[in-house]
Amino acid sequence: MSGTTATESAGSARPARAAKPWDHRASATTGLLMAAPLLLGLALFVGYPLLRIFLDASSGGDLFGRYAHVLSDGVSQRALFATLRTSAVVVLVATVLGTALAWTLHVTERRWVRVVLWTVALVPFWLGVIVKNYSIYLMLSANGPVNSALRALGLADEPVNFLYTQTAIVVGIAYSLVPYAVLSLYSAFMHIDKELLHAAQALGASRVRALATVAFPLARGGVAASMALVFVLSIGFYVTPILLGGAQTPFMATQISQQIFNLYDYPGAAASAAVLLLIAVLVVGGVFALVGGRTVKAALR
Amino acid sequence: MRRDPRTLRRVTTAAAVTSIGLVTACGGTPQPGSSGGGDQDVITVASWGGRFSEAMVTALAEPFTEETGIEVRVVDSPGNFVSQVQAQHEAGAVQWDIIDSAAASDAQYLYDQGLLLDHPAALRSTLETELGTDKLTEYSFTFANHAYVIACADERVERCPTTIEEFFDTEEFPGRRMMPGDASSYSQLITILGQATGNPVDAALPVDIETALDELRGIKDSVRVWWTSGDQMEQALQQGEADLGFMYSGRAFNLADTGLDVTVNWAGVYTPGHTALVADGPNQEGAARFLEWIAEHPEAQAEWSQLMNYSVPHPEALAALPAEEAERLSDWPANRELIAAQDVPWYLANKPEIDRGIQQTIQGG
Repeated sequence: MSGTTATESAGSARPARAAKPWDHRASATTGLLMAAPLLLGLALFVGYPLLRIFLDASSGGDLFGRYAHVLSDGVSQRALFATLRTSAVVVLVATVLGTALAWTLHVTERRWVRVVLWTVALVPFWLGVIVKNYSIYLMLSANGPVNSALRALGLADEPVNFLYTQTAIVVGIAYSLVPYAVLSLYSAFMHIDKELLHAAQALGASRVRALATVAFPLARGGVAASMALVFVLSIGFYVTPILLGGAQTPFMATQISQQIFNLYDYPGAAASAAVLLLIAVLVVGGVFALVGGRTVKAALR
Repeated sequence: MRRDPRTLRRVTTAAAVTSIGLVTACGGTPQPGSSGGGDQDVITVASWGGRFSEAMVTALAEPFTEETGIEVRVVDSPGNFVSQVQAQHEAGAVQWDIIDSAAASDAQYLYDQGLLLDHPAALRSTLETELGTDKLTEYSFTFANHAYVIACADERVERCPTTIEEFFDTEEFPGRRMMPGDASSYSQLITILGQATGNPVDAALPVDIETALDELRGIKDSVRVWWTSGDQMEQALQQGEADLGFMYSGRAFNLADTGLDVTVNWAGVYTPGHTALVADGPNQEGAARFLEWIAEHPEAQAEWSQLMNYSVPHPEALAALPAEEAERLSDWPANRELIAAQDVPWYLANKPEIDRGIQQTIQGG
């Protein structure tokens, strides 16, 4: 009887049927609905343009001719190789600097060191692209502080030509991409238990050997993913090659821009863009094949 | 009251779909003249942005609107006229009525593609009366005319070249040079090279392309900056990257006005802008009226010229300017005879070979 009474008294305050307990997991339909604007945006502004690039590149019945031109034409070839070479150097620079910063951030116990390093690593993120590149332009110009310092130290009589060179482009792009390297490397390093290194050293390994044989294999996937990320971002840079490289320094993005705006060759520009895109896909695919998708995923988790 | 979860889901779905629909509907670019009845009250002019567009609004568009009631929308599309007009035509939705001061080669290319209109008879007659035929093509009148001239930083250059041939003589006239490097300046660059080969100012083109490229190869090692924008050329001379070089005439005088000791020599290339009607524009009648109004108002042109330091086509506009300002303009008779004209049809006919040759030379090929 007491049970009936309890049910009746509850029934007077609540609906007859007990409410389903709140579940934080959304149903598939709700999830799809919530994601719909994003999916729509993705289809319209990413999927469709990408499809158009390939369709335009093969328009007019010329299925592969424009791709062949990108790879065989002297000007285009030079821009492509310069882009790949510059991006490879950027990867090296960003990985070395990023590794040093990210590893120090991982192992340091000092709070102020972390604050300083995070600030150094992330400042380029907060600066606008024009500000970043213009500040490097001023640094490297004939009357800039770098040349003034070289002259003051007696290392140069005449201004050294830093601007409008591949070196200037590498400096500009690497400065922009070091934060990406640091963030991706840090997320890979933070899963490495520092005690493992202590154990290796306790067992007789030198510091370098402990890093090379214990830390590196664990971070391999993350390092590879970071390098791929930096490379893929680097090959698409546009403002930096224009401002710091000038017209005399070939680069793929500026080449594409010229094809569109000055040579009126849209299908050709589409083919150049498609080649860059395919290279990016190949690099990412290659990294996954080399170190394994699981390793990359685990490192970045 | 307890809500039925299925009803809730239906309501949510409907709301989501409606909101997506609304976002899509509201997000589209409004097209001038697309709303019924608005066609004849608005015209759209594509201009170069920044001070250029502001001068268009202040000196030309606002007084025109005041007089006629036709609103002028100025949209910024610096250097993108060809790609934008082509895209609008391909989409079947032309939004622009006028392109403002397009580069000669861009305008000619668009006209050859059938994307610019021949002048209607009434407009043609007004333009010929007001501006004279030398400022006209079948589809455009020149506006924002300037020149590529030789500028030297006096502090770093002992003698500033006064002719193109002197500029190419790197032994007699030493110094770190700057030259146009952007593909949009190749028509001007080949005109400079034509003069460097020895062609006279009044017949700089045509030129044997390979001979012209040899001149470029000869001077390449002395060129420190191949500029791609007006800002870059000013900075290069100011920051000491270059000691002398070709500059837009207006930019060179701007530098002089900011206190840098600059010598400007009128040797180079006449560079007119071309203002024209876009084919299938939404308000062709209103646009033609605007061009007619500009042609008939030399005082408005003079005001525009003072704002921008560029030359304008009406002879009376030039006369209305103070002498010290008019003497800095490319249409000033004494200046005009020292600078060569481009040969745009010849350039367009040989564009692939010229562009490729120049690009290869500049990039070290």
